[in-house]
Amino acid sequence: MSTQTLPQLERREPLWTRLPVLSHVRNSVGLQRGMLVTGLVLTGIFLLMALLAPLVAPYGFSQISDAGGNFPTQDPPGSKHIWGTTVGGFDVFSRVVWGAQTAVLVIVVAVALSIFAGVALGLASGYFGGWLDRVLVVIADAVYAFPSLLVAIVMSIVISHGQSSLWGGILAAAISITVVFIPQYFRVVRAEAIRLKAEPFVESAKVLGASSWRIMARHIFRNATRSIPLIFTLNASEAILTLAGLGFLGFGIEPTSAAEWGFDLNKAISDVTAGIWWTGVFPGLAIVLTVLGLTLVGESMNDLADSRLRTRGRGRKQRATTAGASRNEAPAPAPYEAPAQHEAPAQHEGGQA
Amino acid sequence: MSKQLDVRPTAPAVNVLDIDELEVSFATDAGEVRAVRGVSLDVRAGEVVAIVGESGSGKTVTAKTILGLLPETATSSGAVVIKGQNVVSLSAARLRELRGRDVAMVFQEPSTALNPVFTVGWQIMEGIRAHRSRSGEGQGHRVSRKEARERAIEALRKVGIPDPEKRVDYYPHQFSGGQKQRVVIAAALALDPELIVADEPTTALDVTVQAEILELLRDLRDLYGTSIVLITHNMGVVADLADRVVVMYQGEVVEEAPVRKLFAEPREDYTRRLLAAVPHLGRDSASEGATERLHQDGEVLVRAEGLEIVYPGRLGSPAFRAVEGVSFTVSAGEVFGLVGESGSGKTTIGRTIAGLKRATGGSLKVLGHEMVGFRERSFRPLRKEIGFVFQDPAASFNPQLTVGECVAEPLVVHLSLQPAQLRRRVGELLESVQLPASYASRYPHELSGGQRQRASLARALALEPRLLVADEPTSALDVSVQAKVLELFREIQAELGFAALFISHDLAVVDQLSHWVGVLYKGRLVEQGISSRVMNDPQDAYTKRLIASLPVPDPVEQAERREAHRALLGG
Repeated sequence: MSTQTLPQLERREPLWTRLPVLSHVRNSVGLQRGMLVTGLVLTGIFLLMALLAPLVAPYGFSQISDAGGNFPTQDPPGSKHIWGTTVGGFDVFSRVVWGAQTAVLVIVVAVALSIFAGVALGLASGYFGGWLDRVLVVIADAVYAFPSLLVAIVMSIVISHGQSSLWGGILAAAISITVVFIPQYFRVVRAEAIRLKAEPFVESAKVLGASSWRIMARHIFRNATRSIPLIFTLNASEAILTLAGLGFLGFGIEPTSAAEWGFDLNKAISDVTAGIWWTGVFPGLAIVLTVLGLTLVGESMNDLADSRLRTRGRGRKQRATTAGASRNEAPAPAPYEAPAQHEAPAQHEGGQA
Repeated sequence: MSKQLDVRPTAPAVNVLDIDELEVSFATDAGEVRAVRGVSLDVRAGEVVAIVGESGSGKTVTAKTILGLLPETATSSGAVVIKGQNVVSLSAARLRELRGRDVAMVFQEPSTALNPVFTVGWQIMEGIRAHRSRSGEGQGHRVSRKEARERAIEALRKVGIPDPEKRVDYYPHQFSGGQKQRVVIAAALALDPELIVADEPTTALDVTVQAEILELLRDLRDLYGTSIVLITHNMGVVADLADRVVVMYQGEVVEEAPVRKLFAEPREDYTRRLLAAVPHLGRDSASEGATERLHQDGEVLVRAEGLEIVYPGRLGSPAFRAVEGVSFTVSAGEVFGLVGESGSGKTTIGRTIAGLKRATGGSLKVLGHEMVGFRERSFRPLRKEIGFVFQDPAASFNPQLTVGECVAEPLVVHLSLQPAQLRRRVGELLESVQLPASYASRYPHELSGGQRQRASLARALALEPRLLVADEPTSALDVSVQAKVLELFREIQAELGFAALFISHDLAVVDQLSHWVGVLYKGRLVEQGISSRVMNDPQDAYTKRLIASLPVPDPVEQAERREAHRALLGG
């Protein structure tokens, strides 16, 4: 295997196996793989639901009647309304499906806004340091000090003044989440930038006379953003929770503008005491499973990215014998630099030194 | 202690350690890696057995197996027998009993082997109290705190820590690097194990400190009959300390012989090449036979006068003077070697010349530009005249860029070339450092250490600079690779004729390359002169001590040097 180094190093892995999530699945075994796959399946169902909402949902999110007249209110699950209907006469199943679409939109907008601002500020703050860094860190800390939901409520009032169209509501939720998330990306990228600033390859670029802009864009950016996919998945789940929280507290999106799980949960409170379980359980389950799926993906990616936490397949017998055979064929008059060559991949994986 | 090294008293033929057909393999992402393949060796009582080899030879893995310290990803088979017990198949509880009492370990880096929040006495006592008493009236009982403390003090005294009654309550940071390693050895000795496994015990230390630690290890063997398994890549250390040598390569034992025999008449081809690659002080000097400074008529590229570099202190603590009152010149075409131990300021000077650090006092003119109070903007045009080679070839390349992109970087920054021209030039550069042009499309981690350092040299030379600063360019490399890189450096320097500031802690390497050498000690330049003269006839007291401390890879010569060294320290 890697003791016969060079041939193995020359082979490039095909592109698809190097993509973030797929390579993670390939590298995982046992429980870690189970967690990752479960997470991926849950997340996949969630995304598919959002994408295919118009096809999957039998009715519109604000539909309370069809050709056969008004929907019954608080109807238990049955053949026409498989998860029942709410007090307002909405079809619960359709609302849950459409709610996925709202959630995805909020995640995309929130993360897109915060990722650019956070990464740019983090890079500048970490690389230049000085007063800029101090000011930005203080602001980030101040934002951290607020309970995130409180910030989100204030932001949603400021942005939409209480009324909510689909995009007004989504933007209000997304921007309020953005405010909370920028410091997270900022901190991660800043810490990486500070670490990378002292790396010899950055110094080497400085010695060559490269400009600060070039160093940041070419050398630091590409190395500092490796943990971003990870924060992305974790933040996505937090974004859903914040959105649901806003909706639950009545700062969300009106039912006529879009379907939103938190809002539905809020409306289901009074149903619970009346024994009407279906209006609360299904949106609640949707939130729990989506967040669980995203968190599982994020956590397993975290573990897999760290070679100390990653479990590996143990001693595969066939491989051992082939290694023995190839050793006998080539009685190691290996090139003289050979010893250092397996040190290279080993270091890279943080394996045995 | 002037015993003949080869004639050890024929102790009863009981081996302290028997390793038989040991196999260790690791599960990695790239599949199974067999790190140790069928290694057999034994260690007799009162013997120092050195296991030598380059990185990846399996020497450290073998050492860790002796104490059962392999990580979870490892699977091992075969036998490692200590006192009739096979470590490989021992339960965790039995293994814990064995460690410390029958076999102990000394690690490479003393500052990380000690826990900074506990006193050294506590750390030594921890080991003592973890085991039950073996003899005396309290046999089978736990050692009392008081007795453990006495034993800890005794152990510290054994390893030559002055005033052990007081210093047993000191914290690790209150000791110097060499003393810390003594404390680590004391902790290993506390339970009187018959065998100590020392994994690169002197690699992290300066040469002068290394000499002291080697002396201590030798005393342990001679006075207490402790057997030592010494893991090292430094042939000088082997020549100085070992009785018997085991050479490993790619997980297998290549050769095993008494130390003098191995150095005098190596049997295997690999051993012969390994020994040939080790730089030997006083052989193959670049300034051989020179009577006056070479290239002294060339244009002066670097002129330092009373140079002072100060690191500002943190709030409340005084500033640290890294370099003070240093004066030297580097002329065109000259290789100036700067040697010194860690903390001597040699790297600081190199980085200041390259504009990575600010000079704070005196005068430093680089290519005519004053570096004290310099502005990046006015210095930037001069940067293309200066190349820099970093110590760690793995870290000095951006892992996200290909080797070709990295080497092209200076060309892109300073010239505007067409992509085709750029590609051709990168190919030429790689070929000039004896790398195939096709390596341009590889990523840095796909190259070996030596290949990366060549690519690093290619990048430094891309703009044909007049001055090259090389900061410990070979100290992260294996000896055989180092020999090749040094050879290449020498050839290219002779061909292109650039001036070079060659920074290294390794006297033999500096002597091989440089025409003129400066010796730094605590920020001051204590001596400078023609390399071969300084190495053979040092004038300054520190230089004398430095050169005498360096173990040469020849057991016979080293035994003589040791006597001379002892005389120097005594007198």
